[in-house]
Formats: sequence, structure tokens, C-alpha cells
Amino acid sequence: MISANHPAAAARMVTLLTGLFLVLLTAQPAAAVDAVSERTITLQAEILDPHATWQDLDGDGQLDLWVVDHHRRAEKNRLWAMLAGQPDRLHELRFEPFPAQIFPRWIDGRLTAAAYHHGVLWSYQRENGWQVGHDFNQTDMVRPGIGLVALGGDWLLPTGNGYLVLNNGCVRHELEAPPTVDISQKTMTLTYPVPQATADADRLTARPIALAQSGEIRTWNAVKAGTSWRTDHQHLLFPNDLKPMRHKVGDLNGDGAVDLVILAMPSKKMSLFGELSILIYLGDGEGGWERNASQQFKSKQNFWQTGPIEMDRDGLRLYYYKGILRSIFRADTYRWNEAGYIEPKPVVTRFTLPDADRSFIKLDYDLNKDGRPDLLLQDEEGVHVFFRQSGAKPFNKDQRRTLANQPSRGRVDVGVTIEAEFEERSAAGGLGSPLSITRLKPAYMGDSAGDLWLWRLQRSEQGPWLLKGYRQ
Amino acid sequence: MHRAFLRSSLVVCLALAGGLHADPLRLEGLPLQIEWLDLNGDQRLDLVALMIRTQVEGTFDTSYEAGGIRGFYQEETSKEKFLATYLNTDNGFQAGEKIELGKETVLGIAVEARAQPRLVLWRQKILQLYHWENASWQKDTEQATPGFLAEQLIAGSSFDFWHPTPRGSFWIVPDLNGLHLLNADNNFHHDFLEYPGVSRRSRLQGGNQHHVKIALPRFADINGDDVPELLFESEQGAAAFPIDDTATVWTYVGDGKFADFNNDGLIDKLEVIEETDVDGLKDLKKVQSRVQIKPGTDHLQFGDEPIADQWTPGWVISQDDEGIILPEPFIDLNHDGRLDMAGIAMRLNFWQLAKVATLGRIRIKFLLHLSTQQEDGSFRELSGSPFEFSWRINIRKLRLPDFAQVTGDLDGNGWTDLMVPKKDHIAVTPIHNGAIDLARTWKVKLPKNMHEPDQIFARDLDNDQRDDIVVLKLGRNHTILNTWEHQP
Repeated sequence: MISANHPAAAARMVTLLTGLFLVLLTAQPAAAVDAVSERTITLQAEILDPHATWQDLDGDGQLDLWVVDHHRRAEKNRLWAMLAGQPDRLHELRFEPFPAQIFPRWIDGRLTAAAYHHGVLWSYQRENGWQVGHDFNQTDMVRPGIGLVALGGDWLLPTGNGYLVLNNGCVRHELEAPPTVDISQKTMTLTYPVPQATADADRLTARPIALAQSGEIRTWNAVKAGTSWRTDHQHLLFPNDLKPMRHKVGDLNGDGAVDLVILAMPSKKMSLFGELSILIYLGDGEGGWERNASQQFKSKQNFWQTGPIEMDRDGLRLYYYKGILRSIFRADTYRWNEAGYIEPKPVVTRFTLPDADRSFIKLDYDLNKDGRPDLLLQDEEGVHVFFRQSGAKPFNKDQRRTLANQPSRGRVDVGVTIEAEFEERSAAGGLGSPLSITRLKPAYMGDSAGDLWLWRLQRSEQGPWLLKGYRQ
Repeated sequence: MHRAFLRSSLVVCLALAGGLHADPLRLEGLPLQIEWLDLNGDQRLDLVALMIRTQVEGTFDTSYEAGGIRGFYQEETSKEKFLATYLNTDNGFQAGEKIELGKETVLGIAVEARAQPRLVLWRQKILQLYHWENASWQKDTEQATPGFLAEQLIAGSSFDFWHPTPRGSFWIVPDLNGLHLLNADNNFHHDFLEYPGVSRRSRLQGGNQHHVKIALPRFADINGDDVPELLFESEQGAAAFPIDDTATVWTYVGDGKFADFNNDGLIDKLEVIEETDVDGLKDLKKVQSRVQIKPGTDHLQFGDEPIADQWTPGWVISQDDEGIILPEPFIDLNHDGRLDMAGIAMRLNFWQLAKVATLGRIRIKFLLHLSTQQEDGSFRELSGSPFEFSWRINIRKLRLPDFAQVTGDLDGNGWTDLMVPKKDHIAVTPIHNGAIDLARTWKVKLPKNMHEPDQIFARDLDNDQRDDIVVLKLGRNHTILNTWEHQP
């Protein structure tokens, strides 16, 4: 997540976006209808159901593109990769293990890849094709049905009681992350903590936060010590009648320790309009949190109308939509008061955006390059970029630029795909992680000249898939 | 004199008004599990209950499973649990032995009818066996829990882990990659059965997924040899294993629900081929399903010629749903061994939908379509069907009533009757000679402290071929239980 207090990450994103633009600019200039306002990259004709991912495969800081095609009718599942600025080098990897997570890489002038599927690590070499690298089913109790987690250079391979940490394919050590188990008449459900990177590269937290025994929640942390990770659980006191819904860690009071903010829903006599509670657990300076919430108060949102959380020493900001018939966007800013507490009455920014796509609230893109990420909302007209301002009201209804949908009007599923979704993914976990494997949604990306391009994957009738970019 | 007369008149009035029943039983705590078993050989079912002491209201929920009650706590809990035993006597239920179990997780209990009735208590790390002798539970052997489950935090359990079979009583312990099978009557002989492909429910959906769901089997006799097999069912098909020969596996790939419809011992396959279109709320009550039943010819093999292929009224539930707990669509209404069909339709309007959204719980009206199976295998709808049925739905735990829970032969005429819980009474509508007799509906009045009951079901507690109504009302650290043998 890129926000004002992560300038390094913001700078990296600008670099990456610039790199991406260069990729696309040099990819197929001749095919463009208008050399300035439209670009087209034609994918291989036989691709049936492309899922495209932008990723820096060769570590040159520029985004490359790779496409997985695993249409059901296709005999083989294929992986294509295309390096930045080298459109002629289009590589095809047929792969057998499927469905699988795939990790392509460009090493020493050639494309290689690894894949993970049900406890088996596969590796691809040009000469031999796909081969079993290691079958963890033989030696370890590998967890079925769940993928591995890539964090920075480490791979976390799910086992029965947590994760095996792999670095460059070598098993380093075990990371304990026991599941909670729910056995019903027909199903056994295992819920594991999924490690997620935090702004501090040497620290992981986990989603979800588990309810422990009555009146407590259990958090999971991992701290890097040298090359290995040390894990710990912490039990925090939690109201009996609440259940954690989403959370965010960050330094809320500016003391350098990571604080924890939890949005919790009422767990009994639940109404759709019951308001979520905010609980604040301050960091104890030793990598954990104080056992008691320092504050608990009601927010103005309910469980089906919720959105991203931002926090820094200026306070806590909750972004969400309200309203049933008309979508009313709200940014509630909770600030510190003179007594040293977060004031439970927020300063509210509120405006109506009729027919808004309520699932789309992006806070990780800096369009006007002022070093502060802007707010992106979407409705039928297009994407509205609201420029961030100082003060308790971070955004103003009138301080915006609207990027109209092109070429046709009507809603598109827009995603700034490069960075994380809301707060649930982080700067470190975004790029290069299998989390970003998804069909390329229409995406807005900036270029070095400050222009914004809309990229979408589209197909005309029976023709090949095209990746088209339109300058806004 | 006057007072005695008044009292006796009052008793007669009460008896007439509410049927003859003993005083409600007030149990300490809330039920994690309620089971019935004849402990002292008097042909009456006694009550064995795993209880939990908790003051917290609202986070506790119960459901009906396999003739008993299972309780659910929303989290694993360190609250105190105990085992309560109540003997069914001429004077109602009398408290018997209580075994304190401390705060440790208890995965469940099982009871088994034997010459010396058996109690099985699974305390996560160990399984403890008891037998009933001299009016109390005597400790027998104990056995350590195999596999990873013994070390995990358990949120809730209603899995039937104990299965008495002619080959011995088996303890089933789910693990990550398969099941541990331990035969308690053969020195806990241990066998491991890998989950078949059909039990993998979860699919990889990106790295965000943190849930793993594994379908667990049920015990069903699929070949009529009176020894149950382990049957796994999923959207992809079914797989069955003999309980004492896990090297053998029978599989079927394809849709279906599996049960012995024609009572020939072999398990048959029910498939809902199509349903009528629903274009709006008003169509909900008119929905019909085309059902096809293919007869079992061998282990999970089915003949091509269906024994039934017809449209039946209502929505015949043939698939599991992630969000809502659905009942099996079949029930034996007349105890002839052939399975009859239950389809449901809904009467919903926008107002009701708005209500469930805002209040979290509502009473929803269903139309229950009941069809009996004829000699030739076809289904004929009962006269008087559909039957309007109401059920309280809770948004936290969406669950439709199990048909076995809301039916019971209360008048002892061989046909099962229908029970509908209302605020202050239970309405019983009899079925006889293939007809739902709405006009003869009678009411079982509930005492004030049992209004809006949490659970009702029917069970023949005194072996007189007539089911008794069992009603539970949960309170703050107590449970009120009452039984009625009630006739119109």
C-alpha cells in the first residue's frame, strides 16, 4: 500500500509505471492507429483465455508481461512471457501441472519458471520442459488445496502446521502458523493465518485475525532474525459480543511502534445496519501490542459498507460508501485530541457519486505527482481522481479530474492492477507475488510524461487477443 | 376440601389444555450435545448431555443432528464443560451422575446401546471409554488421538466420529490427507484412509485463500450387507470404502444424491434433471423439479433405466450450498422402507427480504410438497399437499429445517406427522392414509418459559411406537427441556 508515509514505495511505483509505459511504447508502435493516443499489442493468435500479469521478470526495474492461457478446451496450458522493450522475444512455455501457481523469471538471458501444485514444486528449463523439482508430499505433511505465499525472496510453502520457508528453492526452516479447525457434519474447514508483509520489511502480520477463546483474539506475527523468521502469537482482550472483520497495522501515534486498528462487527442479534466498532491496540514497542484496547468506539459504517483504512500520526481515516439507493462517498477522519485520545467523532467528507462502483476505492495512485497518493473512485462516467489536500478533510469534491471511459462509454472493471488491493496487500507483497496473478483488468497506468493510459485486454470477434492502450 | 377440589380441577384442566407431561427439566448450562440411550434396560430412553457453562447469550447456537442436538460455540472455548446424565423415570427425568470435564476442548460424545451401555468421550488429545454399571459411568480404556487434530484449536464439532458396526465400533479421526480409522473392539487397530479425489472441496483461488475445506464422509450401507461403508460425496461424484478394507474403493463420477430409494439394499442415485424457471418472486411458489432415480446395480453403479423420471412439485434439493445448510430431500413418510420425496417452495416477498436484512432473523413461510413412492417407484403427491410451513431463519446461520426434525409419528398410526413450532405452541398436523389432514391439526401449548423454542424434534422415548415431542429453550447458562407425548 502506498501512502504518504511510504515515499520510497511511491517512488518505486512511479519508476515501475514509467517502465511499463516504455514496455508498451516500444512493444508495437507500428500497429498503433494513432501513434500518440492509442497503442496495440497483439497476443498470439491461439491464445484462448488469457490471464495477463505485469511483473518485472528480469529485475531491470521495468515491468514485463506474461500471459497464462488455460482455457478448458486447450489441450495444453500455456505461459507466454514478453520482456520489456523486446517484443520479438515472445516465449512460450507449455505446462502440465494445472491448476498451479506459476513463477516465471528471466535469468541469464533465458526464461525459466517454477510452479507449485498440491505439494509439488515444478521447474521449467528450455531443454527439458517441466520437471518435478521437489515433491513435498513425500516428506512433509503438505496442506492440500492452498497455494504457496511469496514474500520478497522467500516462498512460504503451506504445511499442516504452518509454512516451510524456501529461499531459492532450498528449505530454510519452518514457520509455525497453526490453523483453527472447524469440523461440521459434512466438512472440515481449516483456517490458517496467511502471512502478509508490513511496511517494515522484517516483520509479517497475518490475515485473518482469529477469535480465540471467548473474550480474546489471537494475532500472529513473524519477525525476521537474520535469515530466519521467528513467530509468535499474542492474545489480546476483545469484547465478547464482537467479531473482528478487518484490520490494519501502522504507526498511529508516531512513536515508532506499530499499532493495530481493528474494525469489528456485532456478533449477535446482527442487523445489516449495525455499526462496526473501531478498536485501537497500541504497539508495546517490543513487536507486539498492549493486551487491552486503548480505545473502542462505534464507527459510522456497517459491515457491508466498508472500505480501506489509512492511518498515520495525523489520525485514522476510513473510506467507504453509504446509502442504499444513492451512493454517498464518505471519508471519516478521526484525529488525536488534546487529551491524547482519538476523538470518536470524526470529521466527515461526504459527497454523492450517483451510480458509483462501490467496490472501487483506490488510494495508491499519485496522478498529479505531488508525492501524495490521490483517491480514485469510479462511476459510469469514468474514473474520478480526487487530489489529496492537507487538513482533516483529505479530499474535496471539486478538486478532481475525471478520466472518461474509452473507447466506449459504460462501466468497465477498472483496476490499478500494479499495487495492492486496499490495505490487505502491502508494498512488499504486491509485485512479484503470485497474488497479482489475475486476468488483466482494464488498468490505468501513468507514463513518464505524466499522461495516463487506459489499458484493456480485448478481442474482436474471432480475431486474436489485443492489449490496447488509450491515452486519456 | 375446597382447596383439594380446586387443585384437582386445575390439574385436570392443565392436563386437558397442555397434555399430560411432567414438569420441564431445567438443565444447568447449554447443550453442546444431547444424546438418548436406554441405560437401565427399562425400554425408556435416558438422556446423556455434554453441557457447557456460559453466561453469554446470543453467541451460542444449536442444531438438530441425527436424532439429537449439537451446540455450536462461535469460537473454541475454555469454558467449563461437564457430562450430565438424566434417567427417564415414571416421574420424569431424574438427575443422575455428573462428570466434570474442566475447560479443555471436548470434541464430542457418543453413546452406544450394548449389554452394558457405552459412553465415548473425545477430549481432543484422548478418547475415553466408559460403561454404565451400578447407576454410574465406569471408566474403561483410553486412547490417544492420532494425527494433527490433537494439537489444533478446534472451533466446533458435530462430526459423527463414532460408528458401531457388526465389525466393531470405529473411531474416525480426520487428518490433513485422510482419515484415521481405529477399531475400538479390536484393540484400536489403526488404519489410514487417504481422502479420495472427490473430497477435495477447495480450489486454489489465488494466494489470498486461507481456508481449506475437506468433505468428510458419512456412513451408509451401500450394498445391503448391513455393514456400513464410508461414503464421500461431492459435486464431482462419490467414493465408497469398506470400513475394514480401505484398499478397496468404489467410485462414481457425476452428479447425484445417493440413498436406497427402493429398499433393495443397494444404494440408488437421485438426480434433479431440471427445474422450472423462476423469473420472479411469484414464481417461487410454483417451482417444480424433474427428478430421475437410477437403481443401484452394484457398488456405486447404476442402471440406465430409471425407476422414476418425473416432475415433482417444489424444489427438490440435490446440491449442497456454501451459504445455507440444506436438508436431504427424502424421508420415509409411511415407514414402508421406500423413500418418499419432499420438495419445498417458498413464499417470499420483498417485505420479508427487507426484514431478514434489517432484523437478522425472520420467520419464513415454505410450502412443503410431500410425495410418496408408489410400488412402481413413481412418486404421487399426498392429498392436502403442499403444506404451509413456517421456520425461523437466522442470518448468522442460514439453515432450513431437516425434514426428520419437523416430522414424527405422534399418533402412532404408522404415518409421520408434521410439527410446526409457533410462538407459544406447536401445531401438529397428522398424516394418515396418504393425506395431510389439515382440519385435524392440534396444538401443543408451551409454558411461558418455553415460548419461541430454540429446538423441537420428535423421538419415541418410551418405546410405545409413538413419538414424543422434545422441546428445548436456551437461557442464560441454563436449558429448559420438556417432552410431551401428546395426542389430539
